[in-house]
Amino acid sequence: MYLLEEKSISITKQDFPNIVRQAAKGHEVITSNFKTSGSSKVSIISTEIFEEVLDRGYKFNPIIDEDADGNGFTISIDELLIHGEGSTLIDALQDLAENLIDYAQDYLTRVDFYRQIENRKHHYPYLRRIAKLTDINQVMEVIAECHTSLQQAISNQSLKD
Amino acid sequence: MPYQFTTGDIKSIAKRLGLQQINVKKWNGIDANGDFLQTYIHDHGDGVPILSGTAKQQAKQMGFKNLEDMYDFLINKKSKR
Repeated sequence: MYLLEEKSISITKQDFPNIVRQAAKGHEVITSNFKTSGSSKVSIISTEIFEEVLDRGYKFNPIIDEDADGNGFTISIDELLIHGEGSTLIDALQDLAENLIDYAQDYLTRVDFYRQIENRKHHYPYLRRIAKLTDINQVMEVIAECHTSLQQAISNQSLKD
Repeated sequence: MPYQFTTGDIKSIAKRLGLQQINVKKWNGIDANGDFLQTYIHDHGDGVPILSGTAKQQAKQMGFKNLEDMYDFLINKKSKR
């Protein structure tokens, strides 16, 4: 059973404007070089649908660790091997967001390098989610979307501002 | 047993593993086993204690099993992983 359409590169080239129109409507087209065995497949898909898939499927799971001596907070995202810290929860969240933006920039610039690293190759969809955001406040909100305490910290900060 | 690390300790561990400072906070590099490691170090001064949760994350990011493993590496200068 083949529910997805696959086309050769040569057919895709000939029909590209139409394929782009169809992709924008939601039809995914998969293309590959049929003449080369083991050639990677590439999906042409609506960016809107792609980002919906990422937003629904790749939520962040931040973990808050309050320092044993009360000197501050560390917030980590274990699935991305990344953390931020600060004397307050909102400072730690902002630091984490800065680190995440920096990591996303580096990762997407050197994606071929990071995709070869076993414990980092699965980071792509999370960082692609970050890449579409336009400022650090949006990044903080995305990190906090599944964490009530962090949402509260953002809300309290907004009231102060 | 709680393990306490300073910023200087973490920088020393990172350097021994082959990590380099990339920007203000980010350190990364390839260790002797060929593994890419990346961590974040807030440089508040070499003698300043690291937050307990941050030390746990740095240990994980630099490939140590736990804080004890990272502490053993720090005090045993000849230790290799």
